[in-house]
Amino acid sequence: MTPTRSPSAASPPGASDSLGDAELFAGLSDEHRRSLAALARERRAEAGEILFRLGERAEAFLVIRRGRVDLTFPLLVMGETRETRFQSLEAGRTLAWSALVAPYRLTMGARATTEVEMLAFERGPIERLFQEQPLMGHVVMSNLAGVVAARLHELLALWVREVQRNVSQTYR
Amino acid sequence: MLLTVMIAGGLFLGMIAILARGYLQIEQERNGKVTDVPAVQPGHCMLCNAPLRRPGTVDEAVFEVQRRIDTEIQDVVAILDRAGPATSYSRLYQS
Repeated sequence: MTPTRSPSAASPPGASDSLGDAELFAGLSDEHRRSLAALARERRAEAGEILFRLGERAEAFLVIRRGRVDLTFPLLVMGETRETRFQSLEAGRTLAWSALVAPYRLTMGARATTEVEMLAFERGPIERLFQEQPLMGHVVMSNLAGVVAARLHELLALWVREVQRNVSQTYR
Repeated sequence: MLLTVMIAGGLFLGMIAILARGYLQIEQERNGKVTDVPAVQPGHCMLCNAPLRRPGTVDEAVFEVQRRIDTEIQDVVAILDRAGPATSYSRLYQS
């Protein structure tokens, strides 16, 4: 088992504090947050920059520290494919959660709508940390289940509404 | 003489038939029973049947789609946030 990095000066400044606001790390102790912060890598993006696309391999998940990111899906309009916004996410929200769930493929795209600061967590070190500290792993994965369930519920509601609309128009 | 009367009678009856047909057509139009005019589809032009409010460009179409999703998702999130009684949940799947 690879030893986990101890909290060090290598983690981005204020990373541990940022994790306190992150939906994925709710309920963790300060010590746990410091351990996670030590694995974080800072990532920045300019407004309009594509962070990732649907179907790409997810090697790291992201937590937004500052700015706003749109989750997008490709939509074919008049013969042209456009990344279309599904939802906007702000500080504390999670991106690319697929990095923690097999088959590690991104289920949506993401585009920065403002200048954005994020913390990136590579899958390998995070999984090793969770193996060493199962309680932390349990809390984070429970939070992750909540994030995924919320997205699923929102998408399901949109889909059922669309089906309902079509049925109502077709079978009046 | 008899032939003249028959021709005049025929013309008279023909004129009466034309007048009756015209009268019946006016009555049908008044009652909205005209069947040879195509039905107007909702959301379509009543003259050329083209869809109304169709965005002209890809940007406009994407904007419209995103606006509709925003509206729906705000409603869905609001309902999920208020999650409690089953009655409020039933609105989740109704637009």
